[in-house]
Amino acid sequence: MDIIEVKDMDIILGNKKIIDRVDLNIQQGKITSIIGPNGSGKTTILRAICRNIRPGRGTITLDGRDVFSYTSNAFAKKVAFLAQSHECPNDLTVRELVGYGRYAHKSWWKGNTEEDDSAVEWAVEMTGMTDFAEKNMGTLSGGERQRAWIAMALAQKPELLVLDEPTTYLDICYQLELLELIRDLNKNEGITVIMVLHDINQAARFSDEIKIIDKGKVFASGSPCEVVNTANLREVFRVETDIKYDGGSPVFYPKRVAAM
Amino acid sequence: MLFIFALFAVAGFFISNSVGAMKISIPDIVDAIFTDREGPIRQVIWNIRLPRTIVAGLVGTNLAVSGAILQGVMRNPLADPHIIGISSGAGLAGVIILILFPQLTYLVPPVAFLGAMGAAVMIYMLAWKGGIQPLRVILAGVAVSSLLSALISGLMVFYSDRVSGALMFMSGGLSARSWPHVRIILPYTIIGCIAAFIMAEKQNILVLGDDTARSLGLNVEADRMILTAIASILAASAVSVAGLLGFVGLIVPHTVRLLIGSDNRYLIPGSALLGAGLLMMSDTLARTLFSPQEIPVGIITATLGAPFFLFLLRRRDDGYN
Repeated sequence: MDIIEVKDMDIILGNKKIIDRVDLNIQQGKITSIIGPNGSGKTTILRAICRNIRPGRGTITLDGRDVFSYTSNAFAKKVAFLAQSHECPNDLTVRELVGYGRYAHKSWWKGNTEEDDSAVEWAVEMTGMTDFAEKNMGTLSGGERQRAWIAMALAQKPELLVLDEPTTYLDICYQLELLELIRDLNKNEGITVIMVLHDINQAARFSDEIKIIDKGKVFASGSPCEVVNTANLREVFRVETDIKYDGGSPVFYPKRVAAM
Repeated sequence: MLFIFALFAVAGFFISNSVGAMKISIPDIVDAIFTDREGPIRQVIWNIRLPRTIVAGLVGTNLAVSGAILQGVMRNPLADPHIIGISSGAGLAGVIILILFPQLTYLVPPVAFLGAMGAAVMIYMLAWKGGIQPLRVILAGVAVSSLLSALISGLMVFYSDRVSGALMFMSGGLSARSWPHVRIILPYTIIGCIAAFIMAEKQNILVLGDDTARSLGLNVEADRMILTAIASILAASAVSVAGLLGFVGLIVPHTVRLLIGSDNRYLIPGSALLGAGLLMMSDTLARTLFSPQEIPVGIITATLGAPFFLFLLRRRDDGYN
């Protein structure tokens, strides 16, 4: 089953065609990673799926319905999007931030319901932020802050979690911790995940499906073993590589820049 | 802390009613307001001090709440009613009346209101490009403001013999403000403040950035437009009554933010109370300091408020960076 279907999509920003006739399907219940060189259009695709950019041509559907036909609230109950960089007031507490995740579920005249409180509690617990819940965002480390943002997205109780380079700026230990958290959420809670990742090895290790985007087109799409190979890496990323297999997922070692 | 702001506003109210050419004690003020015993005290309170105090409080509230909204919605700490063109629009309209049609001076409030709203709408339209980007609003606002200010300066140079009334309007003053002015501004204050307070959580979420706010279920474009409109109306009604009072809309929200934090559910009422208190106090000084000569209240708010704000800024550095 496909939760997201992108058909024949063009996106033009300014007068540059960023995305060129892209077709792309995201399977329900899977982790899909989008990789590609800088400027290939990865983030643009994510932003379009989350209704932040309107495509010039083509359609994007969520559960068979055009994403732009949903109301803001209805869409937010199904899809949570975490942009690459965030800003928030330093004096905001983690619990308050996570509480904003309930915005779409609340009606302003009712305030917090029991359901809201338990969703926030659950999100804080899942991300291991219980001890930090009352702390101000400004006092947290980069890794803790990133987990707080993930908790906010989780409090939305989405069916689909969309993450734009969630591991950027994190130490390697926090990167793995975060990816393991995402995998757990996918396995145990059944949340479908789409993310843009910079690290191809991490994408190969943690994803069910990988899409390689190059120059605004889908260059390749399939399981990590199908997609991460020397030919594709040479063609798209311009590196010569050795590929090994570790527990079924491919791991590559870059050797040198490929001759063009 | 909100309670302290409320106390400050109440104190401002009584001091403003009490001090002047005729000193009136607080029991006498209460007495004059709530009983209808005739006498000179009642005359002074009802005809002069009470309406002027109320106008001062409402103007302060409107400007402060307007600034609080704009700083959040535009995600820019420098945003205030001046930046989005409200002041220069009202300024040009007011100065045109005061200089070219002095016999129509009584029309200054409604015309200034239209000028302010006209400028705000123009800036919003100029910044529109399939949606609104806060930075574009601010840049368009600065450009339009410069243009309108140039026109104002031009008028003042050409008619330099008539500028004294216009000067008072340009720096903001409350002399001779009375019940008609209360009636002009009060409905906007009530509606604007209630709307701003109801939308406090939306403002909290808009601060997180457009993509995040949209993902959380906010209709970013619509909400930003509604909030900007509320801020414009609040500021336009204030400047149409009091002239171009700078500073209050910029500094009061920041002061409140430094003292009680950036949560709009507290920031909005806090700004309303502090803005009202500050302006009532300042206006009292403005009319008594060099009595019988009055000085524009804008001068007082800036000379008192700026050092206090700088003191706060240096003492506490949370909330900003």
